[in-house]
Amino acid sequence: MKQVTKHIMLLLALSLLGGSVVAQRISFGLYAADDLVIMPLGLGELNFNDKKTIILGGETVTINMTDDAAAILTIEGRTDLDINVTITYSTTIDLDPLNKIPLAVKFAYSNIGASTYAIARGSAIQVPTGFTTATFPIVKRASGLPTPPPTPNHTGYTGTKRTAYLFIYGTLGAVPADAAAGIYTGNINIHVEYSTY
Amino acid sequence: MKFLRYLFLILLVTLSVTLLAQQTTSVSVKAQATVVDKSEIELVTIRNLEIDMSLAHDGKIYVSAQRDANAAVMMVKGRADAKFRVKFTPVVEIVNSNGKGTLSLHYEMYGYSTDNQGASEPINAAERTLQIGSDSKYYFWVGGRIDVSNARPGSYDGEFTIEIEYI
Repeated sequence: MKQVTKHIMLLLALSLLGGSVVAQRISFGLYAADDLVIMPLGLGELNFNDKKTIILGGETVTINMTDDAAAILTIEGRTDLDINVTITYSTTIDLDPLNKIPLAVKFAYSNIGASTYAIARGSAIQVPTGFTTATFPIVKRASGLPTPPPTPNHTGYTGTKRTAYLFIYGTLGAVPADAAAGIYTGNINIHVEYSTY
Repeated sequence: MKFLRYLFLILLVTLSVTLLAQQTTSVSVKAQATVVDKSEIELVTIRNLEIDMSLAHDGKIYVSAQRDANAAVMMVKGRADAKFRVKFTPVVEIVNSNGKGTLSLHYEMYGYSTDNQGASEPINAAERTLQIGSDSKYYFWVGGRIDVSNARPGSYDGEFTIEIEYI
């Protein structure tokens, strides 16, 4: 019986070993858990009336990446780590269950270590239509050999942090010709995490 | 004792999974649009342009859009502070309704966000962006020049067409 128990324990330990190895791989991210910060600039909204003051039935309104109406977010994080950005959104913005307007969202990122969004926008990379996830380093790396694995934060050492920029834009419409007047709203959720390889 | 060691390993794994959940960050951006009815903008003619032949000088009549009480007055009713685009045809043929002959009328148009003709500003024929006043109104005054020196007797009628649309 004692022998059987030992085997079971060994089996359990082996099965847990796999889990603990995975945990070890992601532990690089764990050190940086608190220092990944995503924040909207300004109101943090994509307001199509900022592009076209009056929106009527039958119209289509497109906010481009370079438009002032595009929503801008900053992502502050470790320069030696990659991040995954995932965007989810409803394909309509709604006034009520009967009145909906189609919404197509696109996004772009800039990771050149720019100090302002205006500079960042000049080199932003647009994620192709249909993609909702992008993986990139906070600051674009120079070509050449890969750098050593990142050093975890510890007493007396904090990894360098910089800011990357996200630009959210897209197309509204066509607004149904019989769309009821009112304020149509929806949410675009942006989810950021350190990449785990 | 060995069992306690395995238990500790299990706890470590559980802790790692918990920390993994903490390393993600999310934020929401609100997508928004305010849609208005097409009927929310309209153009109302308050007064027609009156051309008094007795005021002709050397066969020409001029009705000042900015100063003349005979200038036509039109009012845009729309959404407060909304920007809109306006365009009009500056030269229109008016037709003698009693016989042959046409005359060319060269319109001039002034506009202002309140009912103040004297303060109004010239609007040329090219498309121009204007803004409705905070009381949801915008005013146009329409005058023009017409040469009647070779006009045949009769009554002349014509139309002044102006297009407005929200931007």
